[in-house]
Amino acid sequence: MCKSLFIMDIEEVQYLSENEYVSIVPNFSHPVIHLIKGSVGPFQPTTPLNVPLWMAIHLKESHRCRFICPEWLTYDTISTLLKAEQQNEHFTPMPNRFIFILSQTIMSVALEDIPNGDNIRLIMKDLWDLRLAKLRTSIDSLIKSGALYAKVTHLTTVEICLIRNFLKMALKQIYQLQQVIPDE
Amino acid sequence: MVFIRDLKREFFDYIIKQQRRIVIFVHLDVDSLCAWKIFQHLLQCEHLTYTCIPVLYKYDLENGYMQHTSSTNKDVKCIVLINCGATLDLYDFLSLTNDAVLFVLDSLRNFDHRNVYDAKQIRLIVLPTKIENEKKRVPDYESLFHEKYDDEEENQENNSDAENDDDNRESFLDDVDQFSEVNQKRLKRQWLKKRDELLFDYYRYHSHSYSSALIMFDLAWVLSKDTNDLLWYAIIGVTEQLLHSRIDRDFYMEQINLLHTHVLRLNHQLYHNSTSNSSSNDDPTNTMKLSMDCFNIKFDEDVNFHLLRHWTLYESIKHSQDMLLLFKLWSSKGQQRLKEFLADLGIPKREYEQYYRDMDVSYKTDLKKQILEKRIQEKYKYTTSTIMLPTFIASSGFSMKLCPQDIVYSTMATLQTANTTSSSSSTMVDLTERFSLALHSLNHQNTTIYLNGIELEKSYLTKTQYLMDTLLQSDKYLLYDNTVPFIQLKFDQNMFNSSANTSTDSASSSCYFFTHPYQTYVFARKVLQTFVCYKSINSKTSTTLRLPLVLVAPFSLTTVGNRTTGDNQELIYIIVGIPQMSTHHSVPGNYFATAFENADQRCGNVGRFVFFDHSVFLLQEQHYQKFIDALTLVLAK
Repeated sequence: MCKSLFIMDIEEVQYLSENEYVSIVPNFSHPVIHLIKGSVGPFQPTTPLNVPLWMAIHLKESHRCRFICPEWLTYDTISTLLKAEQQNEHFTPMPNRFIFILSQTIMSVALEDIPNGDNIRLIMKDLWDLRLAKLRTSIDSLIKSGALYAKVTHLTTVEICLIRNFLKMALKQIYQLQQVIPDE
Repeated sequence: MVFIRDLKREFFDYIIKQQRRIVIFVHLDVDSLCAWKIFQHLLQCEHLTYTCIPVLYKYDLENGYMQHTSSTNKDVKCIVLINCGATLDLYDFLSLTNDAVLFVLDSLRNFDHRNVYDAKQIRLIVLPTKIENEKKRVPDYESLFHEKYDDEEENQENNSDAENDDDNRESFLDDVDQFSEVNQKRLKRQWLKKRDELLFDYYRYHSHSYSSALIMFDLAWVLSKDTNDLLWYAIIGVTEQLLHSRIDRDFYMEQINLLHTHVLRLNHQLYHNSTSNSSSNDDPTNTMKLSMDCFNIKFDEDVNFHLLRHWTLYESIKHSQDMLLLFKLWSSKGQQRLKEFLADLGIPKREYEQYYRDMDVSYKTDLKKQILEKRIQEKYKYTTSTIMLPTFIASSGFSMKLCPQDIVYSTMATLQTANTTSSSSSTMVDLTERFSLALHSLNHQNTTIYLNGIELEKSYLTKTQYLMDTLLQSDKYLLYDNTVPFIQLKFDQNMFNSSANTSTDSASSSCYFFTHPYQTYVFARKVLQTFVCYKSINSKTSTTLRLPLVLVAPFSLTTVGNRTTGDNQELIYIIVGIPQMSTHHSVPGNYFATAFENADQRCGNVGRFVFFDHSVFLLQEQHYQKFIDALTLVLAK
C-alpha cells in the first residue's frame, strides 16, 4: 500500500519541525551564513544566537556548540502547562506548534544541556496522554452526535497529523454506510 | 621535528589541511582499537575520508602500504600507524619513496633510532607533556651518527688494504702519514665500539609507555571535542595495558590520575548532586540534576575479581590470578581455605554459588567493606592492592553498569577467537571480521556482542585452567635444570589431551588456540607466576624462582606439498619469552626480544619475526632444537 504524496505524515512533520529556531552557544567563530530562509548571524564563541534546529543538531554532533534550554522546555513552564490542561475541559494553547516532537529531538541530541531531563520527560508524557484522551472523547462525541463538523482549537500539528487519516476514512465509511440504509 | 609537540597544529590541522583520504593501520589489540575509536570520531566530525586497515603481522603492514601507495593511488598523503611500527626501521621496511607523511602512535618502546633521527617523513606522537623524557631515552645524535666515521667506513677499509701492500716501499714521511692513519683508525674503532655499546644498551629492554588511547583522548581534549564516550575508551585502553601486564601498577596509577581529572571535569554534576540531594528532595526544580540516561563515569575502588559481574562469586575468585596465587587454589587445601575465606566474609554458600547479579543486595554492599577489614586481611595475608583496583565505572540509565576490566577481557576474547572455518588464504578476511566485531563490542550501547565476548572469555579460561592443572600435575611439558638458564615449557600437539577427542581433533584445536601475541604473553606470565609459587612451597629452592620462562606452543599446521611423499604437515611453533619474576610486583623490561634476535642470527635467520613485538615469534619445527641451543648460549652470557 503506497503512501499518497499529498497526505502529511509524521516524518514530514518531524522534518518541518527542524526548521524551528533554538538558541545555542557556539565555540568557534565564523562570519554570517546566508541561507534561503534567512541569514544566520556571525558565530562568536560564548555568544548565544538563534539557529534553525537542523543546524544546531549538526553543530552539536560535531562538538561545536552547546544548547541553551528553550524557555518552554523548563520544568516550571511545563508543569504549569500540565496543570492548566488538567483544569481546562478543552485544549489549552501550547507555546509551540511542534512542542512534542521538538522536546523529543532536543532531548535525544543534547540531554546533558537540559536540567531535570527526567522530570520533564515524565510531565511531557502526562501532557501528551491527557491531550490525546481529550481528543479521543471529542471524536467520539462528534461521531455519536452525527454532526457534520466540529470546531477544535489549540491542537498541535502532531495531533492533527495523527487523527487526520483515521478521521477522514472513518467519516467516509460512516457516510457510505449511511447512504445504504434504506429510507424508511 | 620528529616528536610532535603540538598535537593540534602539527598533527590534526595538518591532516585537515591536506583534505585527502587518510590511511590508518590499526594493530589488533584493545588499546589500539580504543585509540582508533576516538580518532574515528574526530575524523567523522570533520567529514574526512579514511581507510582503516587492521594489522597483526608485519606483512599486513607491508602489503597494505604497497596497496595504498602504488602508482595508481598517488593521492595518499597522510598515513597513521596505531600501535605498530615504532620499533621497525620504517624507512627501510616500507621503502618510503613518495612524499607521504607517516604519523606513528605506538606505546611499545624503544623507538628504532633511525626513525627518530633519519627521517623527514616520519613523525612520532607521544604525550606532549612527556616529550623531554622520551627524547632523553634515545641516545644523542652525535653518538650515533658521525659524518666521517660512518660514511667513509668503506673507503678507509679499502685504503688500508692498499697501504699494506705498499708498506715496504714507503719513505719516512709516509711513515708519519701512516701513523696518523693508524690513529684515525683507532679512534674510529673506539667510536664504533662505543656506538655499538650504546645501541646494545638502548635496545636491550623493551617496555611500554603511555597508552595510545590516552594520547588520542588528549588530542580530542585539545580540540575541545572530548566527551564521556571518548573518555571511556581512553579508560579501557589504559586498563588493558595493566591487565595484560605490559605496565606495572605505579604507571597505571599515574595514567589513572590523569584520567581522573578529566572524569571530574566532565562528570561534576554527579558529585554536586550527591551532596545536595537531601536538602532539596521536595523541591526538584532547584537541583541542576542531569537526566539519568546520560552516560556518566564515576571513580571507584573496585573489587578485582575476574569477570565478577558476569559470574558467580566463587567462580570469579577461582579464576582470578591473584587469588589463585594467594590461596594456592590448585590444591584441595587451597580450595578449603577459599571456602573459609568466604565464610569469614559472611557470605553463605547458597549466595556465592549464584550469579553475582542475583545475590542479595546486602551481601554485595558489604562485600567490599568486609574484604578491607583488617582482621581478615591479616589472617589470609593479602594487601589491599591484590584485591582492590582503582578504576572507573560507567552507567547509563537502567542498563547494566560497565567496568573496563570486563570490557577488556570480552574484546580480547573476540579478537583472539578465530573462526573455525578460516583457512590460511583468508586470514586477512578473518582479521577484518574479528576487528569489526571487536569494534562493535566496544560500543557501550550494544551489549549483545559484549556478552558473547564474555562467554568466549569464560570458555577460554576453562581451557587455560585445564592446561595449568596438567602442567602442575605432571612435568612432561616442562624442562628445567641447573644447566639451562631458563625454564622451557613446550606444548606439543596433544595439549588438550582428553579421552573424548581423537588425535586429529586435538591437534587442530591446540594449533589455533594461541592466535595473538598478547594472549600468549599473558598466558606464559601466568604460568610462570603459578609455577614459581608452586615450587616455592614444595622445594624452597630459590634458583628456580629467578629463572625466565620460554613458552613454546603449536601455532599452525600448514600443509607443504612434497614431491615424493605427497602432502606433509609442517608444524609452526609460537615462542614467547618472559623475564624472571621480580619480588616486587613491577613489570621488568623484556630483554627477550634482543635475546631471540641474537639466537636467531646464530641459527642462520630461521625465526619468523612476524609480530611487532620481537619477544614473540614463530619458528618451524625442524629448526627448533637448533634455536634452543643457540638461545641457551646467548642467555648464559
